[in-house]
Amino acid sequence: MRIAVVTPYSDEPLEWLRQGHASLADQGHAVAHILVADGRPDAEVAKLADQHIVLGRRHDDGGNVARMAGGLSAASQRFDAVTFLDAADWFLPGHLAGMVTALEAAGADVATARRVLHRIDGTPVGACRQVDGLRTADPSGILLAPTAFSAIALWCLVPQPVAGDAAQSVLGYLQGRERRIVAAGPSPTLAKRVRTRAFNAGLGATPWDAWLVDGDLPDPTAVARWWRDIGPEERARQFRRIGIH
Amino acid sequence: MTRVAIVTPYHGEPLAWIAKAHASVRLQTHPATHILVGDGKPEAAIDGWDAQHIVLPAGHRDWGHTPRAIGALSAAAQGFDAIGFLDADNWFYPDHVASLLALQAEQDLEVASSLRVMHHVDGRLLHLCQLVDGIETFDTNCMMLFPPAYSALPVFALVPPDVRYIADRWVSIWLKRRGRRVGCTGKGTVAYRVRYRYFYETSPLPMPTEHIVDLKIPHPRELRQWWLALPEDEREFHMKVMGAR
Repeated sequence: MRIAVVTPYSDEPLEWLRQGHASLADQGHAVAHILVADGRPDAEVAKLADQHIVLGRRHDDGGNVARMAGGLSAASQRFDAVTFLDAADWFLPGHLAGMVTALEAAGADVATARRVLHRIDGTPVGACRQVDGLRTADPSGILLAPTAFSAIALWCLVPQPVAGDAAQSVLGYLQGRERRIVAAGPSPTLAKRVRTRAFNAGLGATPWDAWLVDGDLPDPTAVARWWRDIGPEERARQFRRIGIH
Repeated sequence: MTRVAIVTPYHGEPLAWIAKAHASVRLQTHPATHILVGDGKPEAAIDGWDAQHIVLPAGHRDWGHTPRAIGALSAAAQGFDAIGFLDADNWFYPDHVASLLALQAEQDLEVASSLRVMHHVDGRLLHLCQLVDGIETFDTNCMMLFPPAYSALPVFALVPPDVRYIADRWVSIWLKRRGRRVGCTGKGTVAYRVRYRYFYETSPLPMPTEHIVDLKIPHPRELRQWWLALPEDEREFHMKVMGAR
């Protein structure tokens, strides 16, 4: 199975990107790493990439346009599966092998993974209890088979108010189009580096303090509430826009 | 004011042609943002233009359809109200965008189309195209999509490999099957530089000596025959890949 791993990046430390890239060697599957520069191409990052896409302007959208560009390019190249790995994250050994096994065993269109939360310096905190891969998903924990490739557009078609956590709407689209989704597991295999200041409180000074951000980790259930609360007319309009109807 | 994006994929066309296309976007009576997508042969000069520039590392060999989809979905994510297309070897007449917007406003359309005017490879005016009527038969250059039609954009990149050179035909089928409201201005506002060998072979014009493309676009009946000859499970697979199921 030919798998493409798409990583959007803008100004993350090279060390983080190298860690994510290095984690692809322990996956039990050969992969092509597609790195997508969101406005700030870096020659050193380009050296890591099997393919390097450059978006000439920065989109400040959490990597959504970059995920779409890399994902749709991979889909067009007829990779057998497309997955995503954010610049701050990495895969634990065997993550992709587990996803593929789960996908094939279930005859599914999509496999998802649970995640382990890490502080900004890379130290683990514990398994995330919010993301279960079925009702909620992490952008780095979604693997799409070709029959789910149309969901790649969702990174860009998600309504603006919930675009900051687009993975939940991608999952919702796939459910709405009746794609079979399987959660690999039960152990989490995605390492998520959390950059929020609150999550890292008490850690003390680290070399990565410049990359801390305000706010909390997105609450994935908030997206479902938004879709529920907009009412049937607006929901029908949005469904038409994203292609469910 | 309606925010309009025009997407131009390019791959090795003469820079003078791309510059002419770009100038025609800049000279529209209704302003438009030009998004150029280099499909494997990036032109550094474009970085200095008043435009957005996306660079894909390798040509997708699909007549610009994948870069077209990527540029257009990028525009959708940026919140553009309308998205049009312009091939690198063509150009617009100055009221192209304004006339499409006026028609959309008048008829509450989801897709607006113009007619096209055929030009020789050397640029000289030939005649109004007799094939493209903007309702039954589209040319990508003539189309402008509005948000309810944006979900058709990934189809450009996801059509079956054997027929990807006519992905625009699939997009138009997708739009019609999904009941999107389509209208045509009846005005020839796209200058279409004809590069097909068969066009010159069946006309009294001498065959141009360069920039000729040896490709015959099939009749819709041939496309339908090809589709119906596929096994049912294969048709179902392609429909799912494109998001039509």
